[in-house]
Parts: sequence; structure tokens; C-alpha cells
Amino acid sequence: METKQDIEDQINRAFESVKNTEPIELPSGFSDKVLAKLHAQPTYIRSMYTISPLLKVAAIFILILVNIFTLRLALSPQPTTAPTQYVTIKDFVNDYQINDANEELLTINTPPHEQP
Amino acid sequence: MEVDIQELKAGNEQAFRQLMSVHGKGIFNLCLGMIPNREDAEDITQDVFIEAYRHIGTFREGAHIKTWLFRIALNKCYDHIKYFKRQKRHGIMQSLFDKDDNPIELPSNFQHPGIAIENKEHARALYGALASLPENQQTAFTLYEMQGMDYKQIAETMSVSVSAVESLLSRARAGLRKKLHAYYSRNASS
Repeated sequence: METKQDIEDQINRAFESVKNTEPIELPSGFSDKVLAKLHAQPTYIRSMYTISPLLKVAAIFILILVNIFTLRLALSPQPTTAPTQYVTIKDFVNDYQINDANEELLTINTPPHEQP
Repeated sequence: MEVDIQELKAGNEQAFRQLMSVHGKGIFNLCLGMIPNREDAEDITQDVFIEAYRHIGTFREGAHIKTWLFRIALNKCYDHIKYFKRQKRHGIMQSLFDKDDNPIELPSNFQHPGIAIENKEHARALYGALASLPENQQTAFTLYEMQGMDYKQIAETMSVSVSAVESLLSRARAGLRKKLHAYYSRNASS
């Protein structure tokens, strides 16, 4: 079982461990690697990154507009088209009977031998 | 040795090579301090110079090119750390059911060539604790303890005041001490 002092010593050693870090030289041919990488990377990659957020914003905007339109449509009062109620059979007959104009038409289109 | 900024802005490759030969080592060691893995640090250093080449036009005359490069390097390191944190996120569910409640997540790919072998285990624990600190505390600690920068240089690199650097360093040390205490206590009892 380690004492509190041992733990403190270990903490101090952890702090000391990075203090004497040896500076490391760059690997040979580093500059050539960078230049090769620089010339190999196509420039369109960057433009893709700049367009992508714009597309995202546009898609979100369209989605919001569609949602607003749907909500307005759903919440707006609908015109009621209730069927006409007939109290008596006479009302029904009056509504659906052939009127004078229609009767006239029937007479005109009737062949002469069938006319009264 | 000075680097001709005008030549750099004109896209002169020779001036760019000069920039890499003057500041390459410093940037590489800064990246190693933030990400203790040789391959990753080298990749990030390459990306820093590629970005510097592409955006040298935005470099303000009269500013320090070293500070500018250090800022690019720090941002690249943060991106790298964030990327790996995202990769690990899927392991959260697993960790919920794990009995192993280690206060420090030791870096799995720890491979810092500048740290003496006898110090490796302690350094690994320190890096594990460092990773749990906020970015600005992590940066202040790395620049001061590993890069040997003074408060003024750190303040300039991080775009904060000298007193803010002092405060960040003090909080970083306190945080590290707490994390390391929990780690070593746990290891001692097991």
C-alpha cells in the first residue's frame, strides 16, 4: 500500500517527466513531402467545403418554408359543404324537377310525328 | 535567419522552403507536445505549412510569422483532438456499463520520441490527464512546460493577456494534480 507521500512523489515525477523533453529534428525530406502534398491536392476540395454549408442552410430554409405552408394549410378554416337538407318530399321534387326551359328543349328535340 | 514575406506572398517556392527550414522544427515539436505521436505530429506539421502557403496572403505585415504559424498549428492540433474525440464517442455506451472507472484515459498511441524511456509511464499519465482539461489550459501548459515559452510569448500566441496565461497555467496545474492524484491513488489500491 502506497502512502500519501508516495502518491505526491509520483505526481511530481509526472510533472517533471515532460520538463526535459528533448527537441526532435524534422524527418529528412520534410520540405519535399510538403511540396509534393501541396501540388497533389486539388483545389476543388476547398470549394466543396465552402459550398457544403451553404447547401445545408438552403435545405433547412426550404424545409422550414414547407413546414410553415403545411401548418397554415392544416390550421386554416375549411369551407363547409354540407349537403342540403330536404324537409319534405315536395321540396326535393321542386329542386330536382324539370324546369320550363328544360321542358322547352325536350319539345324542340322531339321528332314531329311524336309531338302532341 | 529571416524569411522574406514578400517572396512568400509572391508564391516563391524557395522562400517557402526557407520558411520550413527556419520554423519547421519548432512547429513539429509544438505538435508533438500537443499530440504525442510522431507520425500524427509530422502529418499535422505538413498541413500547417500547406495552410500557411495557401493563406500567406492574409498574413499581416509587421506581425510575427512564428506566432502566426503557431496559431495555425494549434488550430490544426485542436481539430485533430476533436476528430479523435468524435471517433471515440461511440464507446460512451460501452463505458457506461464498464466497471473500470479510471480517472484518466491513457493515450493508446503514446509515442513521444523526446521523452526519456524512464519517464515514459509518468509522461503517459500526464498526457492522459492533460487531455481531460479544457483546450486553453492544455495549450498554456504545453507552451510553458514543454516549449519553454515565457508568459508574454504564450499570451501573444494565444491572443490573451499575460494575467490570463497565469490563471490558465494555475488552473491547469491544479486540474492535473487532482486527476493524477485520483489515478495514482487508484493504482496504489489495486
